[in-house]
Amino acid sequence: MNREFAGLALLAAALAAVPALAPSAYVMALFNLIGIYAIVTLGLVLLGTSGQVSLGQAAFYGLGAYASALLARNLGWSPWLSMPSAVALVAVVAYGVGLPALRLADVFFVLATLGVGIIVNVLMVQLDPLTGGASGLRDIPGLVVAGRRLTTDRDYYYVVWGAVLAALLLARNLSGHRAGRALRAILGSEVGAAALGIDVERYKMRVFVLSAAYAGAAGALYAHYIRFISPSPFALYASLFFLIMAVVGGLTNVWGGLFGAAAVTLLDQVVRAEMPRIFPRVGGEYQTAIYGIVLVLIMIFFPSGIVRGGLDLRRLVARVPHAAGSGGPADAESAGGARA
Amino acid sequence: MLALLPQLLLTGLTIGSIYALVAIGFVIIYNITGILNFAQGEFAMAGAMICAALLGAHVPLVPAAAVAVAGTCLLGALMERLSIEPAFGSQPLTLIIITFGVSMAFRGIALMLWGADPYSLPEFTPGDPLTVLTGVLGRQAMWAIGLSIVVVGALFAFFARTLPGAAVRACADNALASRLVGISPRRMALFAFTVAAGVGAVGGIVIAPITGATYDMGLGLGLKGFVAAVIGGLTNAPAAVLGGYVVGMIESLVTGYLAPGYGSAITFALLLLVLSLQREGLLQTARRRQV
Amino acid sequence: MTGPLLAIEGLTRRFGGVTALHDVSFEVGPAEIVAVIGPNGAGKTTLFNVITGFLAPSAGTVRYRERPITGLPPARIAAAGLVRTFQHQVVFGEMTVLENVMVGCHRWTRTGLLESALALPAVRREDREVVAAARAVLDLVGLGPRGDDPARDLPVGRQRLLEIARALAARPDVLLLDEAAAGLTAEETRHLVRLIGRLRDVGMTFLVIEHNMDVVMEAADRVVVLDYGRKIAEGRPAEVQHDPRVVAAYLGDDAVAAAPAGGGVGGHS
Repeated sequence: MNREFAGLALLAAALAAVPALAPSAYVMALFNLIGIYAIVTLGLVLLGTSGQVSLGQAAFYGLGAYASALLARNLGWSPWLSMPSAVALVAVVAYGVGLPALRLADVFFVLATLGVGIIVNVLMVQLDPLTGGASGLRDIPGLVVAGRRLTTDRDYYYVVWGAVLAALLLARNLSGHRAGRALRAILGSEVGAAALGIDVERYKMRVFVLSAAYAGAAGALYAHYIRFISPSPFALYASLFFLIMAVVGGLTNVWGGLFGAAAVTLLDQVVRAEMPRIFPRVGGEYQTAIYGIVLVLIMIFFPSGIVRGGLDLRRLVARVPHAAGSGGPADAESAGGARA
Repeated sequence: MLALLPQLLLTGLTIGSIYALVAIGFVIIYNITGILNFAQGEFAMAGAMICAALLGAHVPLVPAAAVAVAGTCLLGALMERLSIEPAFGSQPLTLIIITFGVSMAFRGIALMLWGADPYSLPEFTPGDPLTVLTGVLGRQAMWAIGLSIVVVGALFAFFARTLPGAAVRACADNALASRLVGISPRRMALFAFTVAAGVGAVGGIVIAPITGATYDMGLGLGLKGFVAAVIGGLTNAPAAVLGGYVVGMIESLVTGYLAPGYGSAITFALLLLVLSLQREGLLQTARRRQV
Repeated sequence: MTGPLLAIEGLTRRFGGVTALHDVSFEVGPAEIVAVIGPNGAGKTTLFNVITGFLAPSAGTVRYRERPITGLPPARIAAAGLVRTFQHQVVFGEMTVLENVMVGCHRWTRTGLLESALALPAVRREDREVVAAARAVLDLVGLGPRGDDPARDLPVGRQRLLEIARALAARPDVLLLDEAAAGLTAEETRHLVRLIGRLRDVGMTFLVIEHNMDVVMEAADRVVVLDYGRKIAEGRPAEVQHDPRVVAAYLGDDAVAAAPAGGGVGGHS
């Protein structure tokens, strides 16, 4: 626990140093993107803590972006008011989705969220008068902090990563206390959790709403940072992208979520830069192939995430001399149970 | 308004027959392995694209189509061996995510191989369209509807009338029992992916002359086919075919009468509705599959 | 309080054409240890599932502190004070042994999702209390030294003890143990029997399904015998042991060796 807080402090210090060490707009923009994705991913990780997966996060992300953008742009609200309002709206929508969807068995819950994601994306394109259709919304007001208008990527860096740290701290706290234990118990066995008095449905609903709120907050931040939104970054593809980030990090591991968002976003940059050299003919979403293969490999070889997969290996290695020493049946059993 | 109806219904029937073929693929794989294969639409894409590429190399239609179907079968088998088999025994959710990954990989590789421009395929038998009431049914649409019926019939005959078909059904009913009598679930999974890929390829090839063939046609087809399969209850092939027609009709009617562009939103609203209505049935199937 | 803590009234449960429980009635507690015995398939676990809300009864009522609890969801029943363990032990494998027991404390703690996220001082205080309580319970069942191990690393017998510890941590009024002694060593079993006796002495009520007749004879105040879903006998262990219907039920079931040296029902399944 203290080690984790030390980690958090270290991370904050490192993040504070980044703008001084690498002040280029490119690096700042990249970090901002990572930060925004990390917030969505953290929401997915919280959801994963209770054993659930959503393929509709891009919809909540987009809903947060559109809602905050419209409130600020069309009604003239301050973004500091429109962003929390958008998050609240997303939470309400998620609650509405969760009412029927959470009663489904896990696989069908995922498919329901997928359906919601597609419907929301279609609405973004089709509700032209409100959303600007496929061409999107321009001139979204930027953020103003203490009377100063934020303009550069570096300005937004502090806001975005402040939000990431807050999201990380909340998620970490949550998974470390009573509610987090209840969620992890639900992941372990819903029946076992219920037998101890844990209201499984209620917890699943709350964490689903919370994860949607995380996505909504990230979307709202994105809208006021980029100041232009269109439906395409909020399509099914983005939901898969977020899912990849979460599974890279281990789906139940808060720090893994941050790692996953960074790793996949950086991979994306490399792929976008290098792939045209290998396949000069093709444009568009060719990098999909790489992500698809990455996703398959992770699910086969590290179903509990690369971060955790590494830790498991370490634990296994650490156990070898001990097992060699005692050779007891308990050790054999524990090694055999490691995959269970 | 009403004058448009026959045409919309015929269009719905045509597109629905392709959804039906994709849906059958879902049902075959789900029944035998318990996996929802979201790469199913990519099989249709692969069939259409391979066929188009061969036609581009001046291969006649019939051998081109045959090679395309066989090649897609091979892709299905490869997918099973490379991505499903290594994760044998994983959580259903893990396997579903894997199929999404495979679908992304197929799409990306198709883009690299064939680029983003649509390919057009010639109609199988060019000629005047048939007029039904006030609607027009093109020759290719007849091929689509006819082939979907033929494939369903052939599969039905295979499962109901032949010994290997009975073995597959036994495996679907009870994995443990079939292991006891020497049927390997892994071999059955390989078989399921191969057949489902072939069925999907037929769908892709037959619809391509109408819609064109593009690297990203699989996503939409796969999702619609999935909705069709869910409407049919996921385990029932004839019901899934019916589901395909229902989805096709609804899409066509929504596009014609309400607003183009809302088609898929309505389709997925239907999915949510069916999921919440059928949830007891679906839950039970899911439980049965886990055994 | 007067009257029973838990009253089972005419409980029936059918699965399709099979009647797993047929008009079963009996009462439990307070501060009593009641054992449910019977051959395999007698309906014991179905009885537990109906009492704890995991199955709805086809007919009949379960009353707890005189209020009907049939139809309530399992979590509500557990929250009311009836906590169970499972025949096939259910541990949260990814969590540590200590964390498993801390989950048991869920029942009497109150921190919600948002309070957890904010980690308010009250939350930390409650957590310290939970850790202390969980460690105490682990020591009680003899798992103290393994608190920081992942639960999945425990051997099966120890996982059973862990499940009991977790249920105890919930501080239940009635603890329902489904084959608690299965998989335990003789030493662990003796320890468990002593523990149950001590907890009963301080007011806890037990309803246990048990195959180990030594445990039943030693620990139970009263025994309820089920056969083919019907209650065929009820009484003090010594009385029930010699009841001809009970002996017949066990003799009819070839899975259990009946009538050992001492006479009457016996055998460790």
